Amino acid sequence: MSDYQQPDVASLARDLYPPLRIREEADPQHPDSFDEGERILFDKPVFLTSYQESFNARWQKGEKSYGRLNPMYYYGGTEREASISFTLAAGTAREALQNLNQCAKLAKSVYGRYKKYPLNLSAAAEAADPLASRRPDFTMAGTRYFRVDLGSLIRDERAFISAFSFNINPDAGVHDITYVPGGGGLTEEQMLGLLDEEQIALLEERGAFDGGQFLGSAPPENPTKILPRQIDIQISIIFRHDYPLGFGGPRRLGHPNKWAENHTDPSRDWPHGTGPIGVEPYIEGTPNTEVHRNAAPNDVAAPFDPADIADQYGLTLDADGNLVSEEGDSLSDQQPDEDSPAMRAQRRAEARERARAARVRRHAEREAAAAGVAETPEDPPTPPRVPSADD
Amino acid sequence: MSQPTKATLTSVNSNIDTYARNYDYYIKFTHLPTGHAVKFPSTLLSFSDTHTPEFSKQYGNDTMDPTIILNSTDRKVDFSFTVLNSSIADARHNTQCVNLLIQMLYPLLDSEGSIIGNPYIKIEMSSLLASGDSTSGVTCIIENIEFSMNLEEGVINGNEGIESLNYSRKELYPISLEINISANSIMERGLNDTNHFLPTSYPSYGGA
Repeated sequence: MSDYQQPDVASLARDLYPPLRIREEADPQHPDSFDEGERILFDKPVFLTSYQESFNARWQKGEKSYGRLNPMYYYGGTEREASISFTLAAGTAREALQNLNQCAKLAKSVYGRYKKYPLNLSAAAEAADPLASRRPDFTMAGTRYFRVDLGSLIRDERAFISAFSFNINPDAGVHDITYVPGGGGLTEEQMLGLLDEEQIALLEERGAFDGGQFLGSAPPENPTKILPRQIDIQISIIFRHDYPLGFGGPRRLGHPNKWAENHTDPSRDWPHGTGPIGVEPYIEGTPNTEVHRNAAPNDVAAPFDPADIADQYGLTLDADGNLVSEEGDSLSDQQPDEDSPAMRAQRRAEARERARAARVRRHAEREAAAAGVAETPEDPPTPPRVPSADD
Repeated sequence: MSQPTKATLTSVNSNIDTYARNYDYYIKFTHLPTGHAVKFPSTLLSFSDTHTPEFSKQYGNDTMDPTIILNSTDRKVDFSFTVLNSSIADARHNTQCVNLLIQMLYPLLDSEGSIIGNPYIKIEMSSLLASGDSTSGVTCIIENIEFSMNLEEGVINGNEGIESLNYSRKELYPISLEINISANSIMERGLNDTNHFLPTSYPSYGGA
């Protein structure tokens, strides 16, 4: 039965509201376990009643030593989840039934996939229980992966459906298809579309159809279905992005401040679409820089900018453009163009560490001076660490 | 030598822009690892700032009351604000601003994809979130950003999405978008104050 929608509702949905498309796809780890024929596909314009997204950064609190201002925080990643509520309206009984079918599809999405498991029984076991081999055994083949799309809000993202529930709104009423005295009820075609074969056979046997109208009395084995005029659906989604998230990264060599995804042709905003307007320069795609993790470092030269590092960590540059700590140690005595990105990152970390040590020393000296101590103690107490951007 | 790209975006709304600009009523977020920044007119819905000391107790013989030892004090800031869109142009631009705010919860990566810069964010909010030794805001870790569309206040629709990115080409922007933020401040010791461990003005809410 193809989906039918009352014309006014259909045109409103078509013209204004984005369709929600939830399409099951193969588990990328086990693509063989996916059966195309059993794919769940929900694709329907929906009337949103609420849309909420949350982004949770996982920060783990570390130890707090005595007198320390803050605990250490360890960053572990950022998660994205969304909760969507929408209404499926039914102007006709047929639409109502279709809506229930859609609910059934969505409800399936929160269950796992199961695979028939062949029982290789020994002869003795077969002899002991001849029916054992006929009873299929199943094993869980994994969770269901989906691609979700909802206009500019969710754009073809890989996700799991983590919750589904629906409520019918009794105040909106239900479609009653059992019996309409004196005709004026459903046409035979409509009625046939709503009932299963057994129910149709039962009604035909009772002479229920006459002149295209369903006029028969309701049989004792009541074929009535509860067909709500309004269904409110809530689903929750956990996203599992299949591209890098953050700034810099392997797709942005030489552009450490740009958004890591590097979507080119066309560039795209993330996470939400912004229509036809151009993206900001920091998110603009950079063609020809999408390299594999193991690409040779010289494929794309990542410029090392001592001025930026100096600015960020309070260091100074000497006349030759080398980073210099307050003690005059040169921190950038190697030619950056000959280095790999990993070496540069290591050198920056070392520079940061040295700069931090210098700051700690300066603090200790100032505190000692304030306390009237002539000499810096050999082992000054370490003041609480000032958080830096790259902690 | 190429300079890193630093973005500074400002959310717009033609109805409240002038007011926000004249009084500098903005909430500004700066992603410390990259320097990207975004400003929103501070249409605050709620704000709470909780300072929680952490005590431990020690008991001795013949003493009724325990000895209280202060270990440390945490500061947690929760606030929510509204982003208002008065036209589809505003809505698209403001979505870019919200996108950048959301992206700030993600770290800086090195060429191998490993994290080299945790997503520390400096939040400036006039007198409510000001650093003790400067007015340049408070460094925080944001644990959670919630983004809710107030659909009952209406939506702005568009049909000009790029097909290869959004197959329906449909755009849906709320007229009013609520953003809830939960953050923990990372207190910085006053580096310029050699006499006090914490700056004497910390915490500061703009008073004397």
